[in-house]
Amino acid sequence: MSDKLSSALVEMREDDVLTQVRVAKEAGTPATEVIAALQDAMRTIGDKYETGEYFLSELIFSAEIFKRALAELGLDQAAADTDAKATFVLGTVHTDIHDIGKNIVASVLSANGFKVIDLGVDVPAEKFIAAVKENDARLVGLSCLLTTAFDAMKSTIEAFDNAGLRDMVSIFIGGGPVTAHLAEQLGADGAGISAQEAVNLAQAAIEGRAA
Amino acid sequence: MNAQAADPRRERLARAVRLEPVDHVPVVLEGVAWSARVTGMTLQRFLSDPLLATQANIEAFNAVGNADAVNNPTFDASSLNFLWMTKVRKPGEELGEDEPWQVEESGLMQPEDYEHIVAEGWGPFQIAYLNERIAPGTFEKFISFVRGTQAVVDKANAGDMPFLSVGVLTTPFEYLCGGRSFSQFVFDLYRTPDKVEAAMQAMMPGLCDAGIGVTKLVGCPGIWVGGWRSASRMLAQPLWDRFVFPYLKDIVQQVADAGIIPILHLDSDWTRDLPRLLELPAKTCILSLDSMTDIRRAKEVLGDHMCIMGDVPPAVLSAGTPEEVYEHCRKLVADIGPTGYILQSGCDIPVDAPLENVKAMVSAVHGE
Repeated sequence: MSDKLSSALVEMREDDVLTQVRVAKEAGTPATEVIAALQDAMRTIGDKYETGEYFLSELIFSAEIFKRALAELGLDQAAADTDAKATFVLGTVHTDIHDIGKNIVASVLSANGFKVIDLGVDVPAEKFIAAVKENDARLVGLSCLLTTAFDAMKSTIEAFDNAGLRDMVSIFIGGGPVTAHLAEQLGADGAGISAQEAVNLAQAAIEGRAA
Repeated sequence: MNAQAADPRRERLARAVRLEPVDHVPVVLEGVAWSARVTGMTLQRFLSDPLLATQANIEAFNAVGNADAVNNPTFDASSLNFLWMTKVRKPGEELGEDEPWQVEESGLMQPEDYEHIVAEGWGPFQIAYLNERIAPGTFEKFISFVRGTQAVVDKANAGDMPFLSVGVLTTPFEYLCGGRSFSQFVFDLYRTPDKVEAAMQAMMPGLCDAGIGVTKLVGCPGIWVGGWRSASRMLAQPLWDRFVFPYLKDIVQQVADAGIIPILHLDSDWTRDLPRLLELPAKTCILSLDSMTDIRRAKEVLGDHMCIMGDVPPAVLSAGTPEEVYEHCRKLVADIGPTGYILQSGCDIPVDAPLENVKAMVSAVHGE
């Protein structure tokens, strides 16, 4: 079952994935086994994105199929989050309301086994800090599209410093205008401009290595 | 334009487009919101009147000095409503008086709208959509802006500020993607591709007529042909081949046939499909990149085919020092110039870019 299911997801065959999940559920296959097969497929899709075989459309459509497959199992994201690798607090920083890229990152991180706390857009620093404390999160993603939001990114990172939390979290910046150089300038731990880069940064952080 | 055909700046730009030798690489400013900020005009005031926007552009152009042209001599937020099919938060309304406007991609278009477009035709559908789902009068506001184009052109000419474009065109993909929102639209491409394709085909007749007509009427050299969510990096190859390139190619050909320069304003990463752009008319287009596409690869692939423009990254212009900007631009001039190249920011100059950084960009073409 698992190879066939994984292949169906890798090949974006939505109806096939949902049918197989339904059949597996009816046959009493443990949900954890089904989820593992789907997450295996998500890793393959991520690899294909990295090598230039797949593009953003495959990343987000596969994450959508993954979400529907969970629903087919009678589970929601919270159930999948129970076994999450880590918690990732994500939001578009204060003064910026762009959310499309951030939403894609959230859905691709979720489908790759991370629990995502999505704080939305125009998020002040104190809300990021509160969410980290409340969820015992170790990963933070600050998103923006506007260069005018760089100041808000910087002050958010400084707020973690001032709250004595900076050494406990990895903070990444993401969005169209960000660069690795900017991450250094702002005191972040890394920068990503794609959802897959966010997955790679998060994975590397929990493994204690550089992305 | 014709009255100033002997203007060396315009001639330099025309030679760059034809891939002919130039005395130095031309440099163009594209920074509508930036022009307001640098001249001390609030963005709310800037948006209140297209002629005020032109005034800000002229003052910013003069403050920088030694640039060859601006990309667009004015701006109105209704053009974003028109192209994105969505709401825009504006300074002085939903935002503070000097906060940059932001597109609010809220998915106002529904899956059944593909069939409505086919049944009603794009023009009637779009007018009703803009006025009913965005705000009453949105379409009329855009048309009023378009009708003011001659006055904008006259003001820019009187201010001795050359410009490349006064009109905007884009593909059916961008209109529909903006209306549906990116993720939902991608799902539609996978789930109901035939319906999307039928709508796109129904949109094409007449889609470019107004933009081309106004551009010809006022004697502007080029027209902005935008692509952002339809970039190669966004889409699987089969989706791009089916839903993007045939339409882009058709639009570019229509513009070229009208004797107008298609300014391909391509945001995000188009590197994968650069070879396909060889199918567009030779020595006719400007390929304007935003720093996400590999501009050096573009030069390798397209250097003998079309003029390349760009692509000083926003982060460099916004957060870099003048020395860093200058060095970055000198490398661009060395690598992409001297022929078939126009130095410009990648997409717009960020609103918070210091004036000295933009001056440093311009200095780079003069080696000063």
